Amino acid sequence: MITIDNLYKTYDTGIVKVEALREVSLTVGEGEFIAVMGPSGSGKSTLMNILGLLDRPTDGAYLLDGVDTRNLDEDQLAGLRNQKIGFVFQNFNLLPRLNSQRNVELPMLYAGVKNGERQARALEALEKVGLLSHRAHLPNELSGGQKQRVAIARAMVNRPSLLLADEPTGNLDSRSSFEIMALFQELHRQGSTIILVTHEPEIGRHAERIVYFRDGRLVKSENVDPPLDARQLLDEWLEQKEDSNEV
Amino acid sequence: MKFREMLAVALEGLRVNKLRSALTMLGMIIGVMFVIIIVTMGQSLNKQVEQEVEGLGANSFTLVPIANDNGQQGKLTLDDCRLLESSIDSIEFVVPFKYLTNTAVFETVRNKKNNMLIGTSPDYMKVSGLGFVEGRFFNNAENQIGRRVIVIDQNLAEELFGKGNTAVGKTLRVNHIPFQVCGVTKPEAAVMGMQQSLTCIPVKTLMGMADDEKVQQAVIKVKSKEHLESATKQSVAILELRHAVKEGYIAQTNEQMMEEFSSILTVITSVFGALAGVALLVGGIGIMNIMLVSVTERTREIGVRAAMGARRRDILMQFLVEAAVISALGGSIGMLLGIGIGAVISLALNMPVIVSFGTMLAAFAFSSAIGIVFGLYPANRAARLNPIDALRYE
Ligand SMILES: Nc1ncnc2c1ncn2[C@@H]1O[C@H](COP(=O)(O)OP(=O)(O)O)[C@@H](O)[C@H]1O
Ligand SMILES: [Mg+2]
Repeated sequence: MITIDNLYKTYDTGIVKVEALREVSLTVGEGEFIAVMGPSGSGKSTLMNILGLLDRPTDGAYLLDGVDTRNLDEDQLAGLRNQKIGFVFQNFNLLPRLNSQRNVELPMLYAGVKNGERQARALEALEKVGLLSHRAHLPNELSGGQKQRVAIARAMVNRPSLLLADEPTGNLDSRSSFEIMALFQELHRQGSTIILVTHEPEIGRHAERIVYFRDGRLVKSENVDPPLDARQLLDEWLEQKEDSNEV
Repeated sequence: MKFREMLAVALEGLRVNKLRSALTMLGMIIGVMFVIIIVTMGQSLNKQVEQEVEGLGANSFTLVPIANDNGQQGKLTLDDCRLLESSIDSIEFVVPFKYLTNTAVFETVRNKKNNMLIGTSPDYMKVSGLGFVEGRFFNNAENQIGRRVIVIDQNLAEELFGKGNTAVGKTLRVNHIPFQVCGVTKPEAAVMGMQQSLTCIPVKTLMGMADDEKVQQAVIKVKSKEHLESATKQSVAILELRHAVKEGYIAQTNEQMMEEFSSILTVITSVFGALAGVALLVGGIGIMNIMLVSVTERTREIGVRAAMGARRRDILMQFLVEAAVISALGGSIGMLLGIGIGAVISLALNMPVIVSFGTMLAAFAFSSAIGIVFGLYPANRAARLNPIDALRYE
């Protein structure tokens, strides 16, 4: 579903040229769950922005569902972002003045979904992430983990084929991180294609495959067999906690 | 995105920042308020003069002696008035108007007032439509022998004789000369904002108090509309011959006077309206300023919306509608205030209160347009943001 071929991204700051991506080629099949790892500054976010059609590569091809994205104009890119891509950010990026439900409705607003259906689908998505009861809360009334769950509901509500998550657990405690990973794994089981950036090895091992970046190059790709089960880890972790509380 | 949704998004943006939205609106409120006050006052004045000119009666024209280009002065006397009345068949009657150059002093034991003084004939009643609170206008006999009788209006009567007291039959002094009040009229609306009472005495009597025989103007009533033009020409011709002066008179029908006044008023209203329009311009710049701040502040929001699939025109419309709503709302508030204040001023000046639907509609449309014009630049800036730069913005 994703084919990138010999991708380059060069940032020209005027003083220096930074080659954030070089010679990157990668194929991601339908329904895959991939983790992207690598040290800070290795080009992971740059790759995600290009995959998310928020930015264009300096050179190289990017085919999304067989469509060559090089020839698309701004509006077409916006349409694809709306229909095919769901974003989850490290800093959540919820609109601070909209409550959970309105935040989740956002992608449908730009998809032209009618008011009634929009509300129904937003509530349904919130229910899936276990936050139906928090539909009227503003982002600053939610914990980090809850914010990220709202963000995931928002990313999934237009039923995109590709979910892009750039360090989604970067700002979360371990419990919330497991909850988020459990959600991703659930979405993956239901058929979503997920690409997740992380620098935590344990988080990365929830994916089926890990690709490693260094200095803008894709240096290694390895399969995880079997991936960690976040739900199971979460349960074990909770049990441990209870035990230690009893002592 | 549908317009209704865009409106909802824009309103959400405004609701979140109520104080700022209100302050931004202030410029529009004040600008539109002044424009509306000026326009409605202009309309009110126009209406007022229209009523007054109509009060002079249909099928009549006003004759005023003037100086021609060679400096020769046209003359008008009581004899001239009588001559026109008797020599031109189509003329029914001629009402002379004589004023003192200065205001006269009106005096009773109770009070003392300065006011203009008019000398005229009883025929004035036939063209003026004056209403009486008590008493009557002076009659022909009183006019011919130059009796010292006076008609004053209710406002002056109250000042000179006290509220609720009868004035008719009582005596007041005009420039130290005693006059007997024979009638009290309902107050007329103020002419051009002059707070003066209407006071009439027989023109013959006024001749005795003045240094000259000049009559400043005459209102001439003809038998029917068809005679208006010929009577006007004949009158001017007779007077020019009699006083050996060319182009020493203007004779205008009420309609002509009204048209002339209207056109002058339109110019005045336009000039003041344009000045008030500058306030609107300032309001528009205020909107632009705040929208630019808002765009910068919400850069990240714009990035998020772009990531969610907002197209450039969606972002553009969001900010444009927001600007238009601010200015249209401010414009509407200013319009209501302007109408209210205009009405209060009109009432205070005894002028007709005018609420024009056309003006309201124009104010609304114009203020929305200002929002769109001045919102365009900030909105365009928002729409041109690169999604990834916007998302990264701290
Ligand atoms: N907008 C930009 N302008 C200039 N350099 C950039 C920009 N974005 C990223 N870079 C540079 O590109 C490289 C890769 O950055 P990034 O993709 O954010 O790395 P990662 O997400 O792996 O930490 C870094 O050296 C970074 O400084
Ligand atoms: Mg990064």
